[in-house]
Amino acid sequence: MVIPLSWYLIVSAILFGIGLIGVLLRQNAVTILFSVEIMLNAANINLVAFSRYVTPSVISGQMFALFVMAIAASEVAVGLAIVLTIYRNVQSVDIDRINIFKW
Amino acid sequence: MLAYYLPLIVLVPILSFITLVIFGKRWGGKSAYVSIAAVLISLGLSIKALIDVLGGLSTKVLFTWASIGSFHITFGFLLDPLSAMMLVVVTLVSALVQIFSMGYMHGDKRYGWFYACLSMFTASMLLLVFAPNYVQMYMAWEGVGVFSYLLIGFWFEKRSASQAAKKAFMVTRVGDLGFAIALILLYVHAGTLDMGKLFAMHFAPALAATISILMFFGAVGKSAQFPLHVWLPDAMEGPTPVSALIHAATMVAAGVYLVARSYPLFEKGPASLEFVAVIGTITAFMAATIALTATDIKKVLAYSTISQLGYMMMGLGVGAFAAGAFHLFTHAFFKALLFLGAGSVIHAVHSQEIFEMGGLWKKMKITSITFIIGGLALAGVPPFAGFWSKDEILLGAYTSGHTVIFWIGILTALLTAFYTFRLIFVVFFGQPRADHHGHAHESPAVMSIPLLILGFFALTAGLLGSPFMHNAFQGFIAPGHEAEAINPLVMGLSVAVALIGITAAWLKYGTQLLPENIIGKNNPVYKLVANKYYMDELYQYVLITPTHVLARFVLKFDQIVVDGIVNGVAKATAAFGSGMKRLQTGYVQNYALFMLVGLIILIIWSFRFLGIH
Amino acid sequence: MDWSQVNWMAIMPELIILGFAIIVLLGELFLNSDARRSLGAVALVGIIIAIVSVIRLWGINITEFNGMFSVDLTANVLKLILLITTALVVLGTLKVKVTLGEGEFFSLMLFSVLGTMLMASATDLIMLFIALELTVLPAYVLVASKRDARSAEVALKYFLLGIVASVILLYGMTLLFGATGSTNFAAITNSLHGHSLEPMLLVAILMIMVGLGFKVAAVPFHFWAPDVYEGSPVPVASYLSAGPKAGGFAALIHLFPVALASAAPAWATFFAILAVLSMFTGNLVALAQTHVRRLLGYSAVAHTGYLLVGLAVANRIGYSSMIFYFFVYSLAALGAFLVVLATTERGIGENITDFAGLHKRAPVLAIAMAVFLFSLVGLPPFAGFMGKFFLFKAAVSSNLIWLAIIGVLNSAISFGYYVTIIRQMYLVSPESDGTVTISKPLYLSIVLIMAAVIFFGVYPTAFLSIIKL
Repeated sequence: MVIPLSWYLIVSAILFGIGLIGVLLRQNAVTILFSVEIMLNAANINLVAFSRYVTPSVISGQMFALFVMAIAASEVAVGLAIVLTIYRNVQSVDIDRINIFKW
Repeated sequence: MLAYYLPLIVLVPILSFITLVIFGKRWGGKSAYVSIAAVLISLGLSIKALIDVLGGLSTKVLFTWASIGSFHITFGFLLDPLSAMMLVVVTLVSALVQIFSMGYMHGDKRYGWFYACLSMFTASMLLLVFAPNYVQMYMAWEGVGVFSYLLIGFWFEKRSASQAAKKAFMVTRVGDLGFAIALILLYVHAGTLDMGKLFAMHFAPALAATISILMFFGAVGKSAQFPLHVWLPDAMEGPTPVSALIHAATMVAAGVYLVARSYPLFEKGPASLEFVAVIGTITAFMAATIALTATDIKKVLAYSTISQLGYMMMGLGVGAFAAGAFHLFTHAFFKALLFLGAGSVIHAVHSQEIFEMGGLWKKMKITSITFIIGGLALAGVPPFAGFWSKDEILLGAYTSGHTVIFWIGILTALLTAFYTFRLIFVVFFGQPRADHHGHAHESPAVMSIPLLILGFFALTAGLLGSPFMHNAFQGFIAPGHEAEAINPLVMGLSVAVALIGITAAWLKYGTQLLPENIIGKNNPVYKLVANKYYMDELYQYVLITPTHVLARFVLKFDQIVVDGIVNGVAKATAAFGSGMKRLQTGYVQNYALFMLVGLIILIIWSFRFLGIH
Repeated sequence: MDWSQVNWMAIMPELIILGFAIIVLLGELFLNSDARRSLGAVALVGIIIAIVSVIRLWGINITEFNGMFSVDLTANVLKLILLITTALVVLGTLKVKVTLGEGEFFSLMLFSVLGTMLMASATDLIMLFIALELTVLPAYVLVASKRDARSAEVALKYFLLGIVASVILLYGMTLLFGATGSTNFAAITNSLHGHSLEPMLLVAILMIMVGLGFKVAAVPFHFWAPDVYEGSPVPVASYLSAGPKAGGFAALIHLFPVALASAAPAWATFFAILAVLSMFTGNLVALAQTHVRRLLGYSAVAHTGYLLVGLAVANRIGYSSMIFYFFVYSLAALGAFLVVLATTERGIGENITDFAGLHKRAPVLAIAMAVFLFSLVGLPPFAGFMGKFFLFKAAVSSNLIWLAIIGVLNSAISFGYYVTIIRQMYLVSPESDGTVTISKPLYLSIVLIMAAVIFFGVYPTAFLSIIKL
């Protein structure tokens, strides 16, 4: 049995949604970072699936996915560094306590 | 042949302005050298331009200032006989005035600023002279207005000076309104404001006349014509060299220049020229009568300027285009001379009241001689400059059949000769009337040399347009408008009235032959004239007082109703802003949520309204 | 791929910036602390060489690297604006104590500039995404570089919102890829030609718009801007206020009018909506601000609104007007930030009231600030007036009169808050009357910007003729 494209897209959309909910609701900055990673991987599933189904002869979608992984890694590096700075300053990574700048 | 040095003529004074604005305070007394060097460079280039024009060059250097698609705003440098003549006059007078000011303004605390303003004023005026289109003309026109405002109000600590500056600015603005409307009408009807294209177009006479008359309002304001002449006498509050520059040779001439420049347009609606002639004549006569009673040396000259500008307008109006331009040319020299001479006198005696002066002939030889030369030129005695040009104007009026205008012109010439020599006899001859003149002495060389140079021009400039030189000037300015043949009647009359006027002044003020009260000071006519025909009062009652009443009413209305609304709107806006800033809660997850909500709303909206399913 | 066939000229400016970024970074590693002071000057030299090489590419259209990278007029102009404004920032900060080591600071800035330049030239989704990340990642670090609570908070917010926007953008890109089967702009154009707007494509467009809208700080994706402008170190805020948006606008101009041309009516309307929201939000909220940099942050949001009018117009004149306005806006905003930098360097606070009587304490700074603010309001004869004039004229000539009216109305509102700063500087007497001294390079930078703001206000053709308007 051949799995249709839409199944992949649905999985991807669900992952994207899960990630988004995590970003919107979790209070721990590190968890939010992980949620973003889930969203990035949702996009990667899209890319690979489209590449396989829409353009089977070209691998540009898969290449794109590889680049996204590299970028995700560097984003995590920068993100964790910033979270670490926050932690050093306020001894917490609770996003609700980070609220100096407003209005 | 391309004349790419033309922009430099304007650019150099602008650079001088910028330099002086930045360094003027630090350099103090040395500022003058920058400005004078700049204007001398401009003068040199202007003379080169004039020589090129004499060699047959007539050109336009155009730059695109801003363009978007097919919409272009250009500025440029139009060089033809008229502009070449004005260039030389403006830069020459400006150079001499600036040199003179080194003595007159010596030690003033805003010396650098003074020269900066003079530089920029000159640059604006040159830009106006160069204008090949009305946009540039209008902008330079306003620039001239702004810098003259700064110069008239230069001693702004003096309340009267800042008032006078304000008055000059406001009154000329009234005229500018007409000018602006004329430009809008022109653009609407012709779709362009380029002079070359406009003058080649066909206009219905009525339309051309309407536009021209509206445009003439601008000239009425700037050139102090009746009924907007009231600002010029007050503007004498400025430093005297400024009066020589602004109120003799340049700014007031701008109005005349505008009419001369737009002459093809005026000719398309001949009614407008009649209007110009009538206004010019009224102005010439009325200002001359007021000058008879003025006792402030600068005010006499101010009214005389108004009167002479009236002559120029009269000349242009009756169709003697070349004569009007010629009078503009000669008048610039002899009136600048008279103003600078007056400056020299004021510098020596520290007073402007002529009946406090007297007997200065013995103490100030150079000033006296040059002033008398200027006076003879103004009075129209041959062979001085004013004679030839005024004669041309009167001749134009005579031959074109404007008999009434002609006779009023003759009468005005008589009055001119009289008030000019009244001034001379009272100031330079007789006995000193106040004791503080004991120490009056000749002014320093920086002041007397410009007087001598201008005296030379006042003596000779007229010859360029005289029959001895085959009316070379007229042939140069207006090749189409050949000068009229000499009319012995006109010439004789004009010489006669000049001599009669001088003699009368001599009898009255030079000797004691005529009784003191030949005209009683209580005579109603004298009162009318001495009070400047009550024009200021008329404005006071007809315009200013009702305006104040109206203003008070509007103010009340404004305070109660409009302010209420405006404040309400402003408060509501600010409150709205304060409310909206609460969206920026400081919680980063809220921001992410708002972004997401924004995206979702956009998606829903687009599916709904773009009809995509 | 045959590397000998590549026209390396096309990517020369980027290579120069890359080279200098590495040199400056190595300088941090190997030089002693005295020699490191000159690394800013090295970076400045690199930027100037890059400017020269961009100018050498003028008038050339090249597409290289399998259609991933292309050089055209839009890209060159925007790169030039980016490089010039960055050069002015670097010049201004030469004698200023930066928050990291000089080498780190300037090399991060150069890497960010490199990303923005690549963004301006990207003609492939992969390239665009990588370039965008290269732009923002060093910027996150720069914002955090002060390492105190405020700086870290701002950096975290900027970072989190930034990656969320990036992910949404990426997801949109994947959908676009799925809908068209290509990542290349030219191929996308071909594949969309003549097709109607499908739902997936529409969602893709909107998601991409979110990502790029975040980059240029359009409402409702603007929340980072006021915080970052206020909370990051002043030299960083100065840099962010001008340069990096060039990449966002270049991407918008390349992606929407070119690749997504067939969907033009739809996205033009979206941009109009974003423009109106940004103008009103930015200007109204700015009215209620007391902190100068935060005020400038909201003003930046409002100006994004004005700029998006150019995209809403959706024709060549609109884009050109937008680029011109972007240029004049960048100059004025950068100038205002540099003035703030000059005052904070001398210990003056950043509330509007701290500017009281500045014209007595630092006349040049005060007049420069006034010129920049007047330009931002859009008063003649300053450049901002000409920029707004052309932008709104473009809107009027495309029958978007309502948009032009809203723009003018917003300019009027914006006068309300800019004038409060000018009022403080000129009409309120200072609390302390010591004169404010400025370091020479910063002074030079501010004066240069002021001269440019006046010059382009008086003679806009100098720039307009370059962008062929």
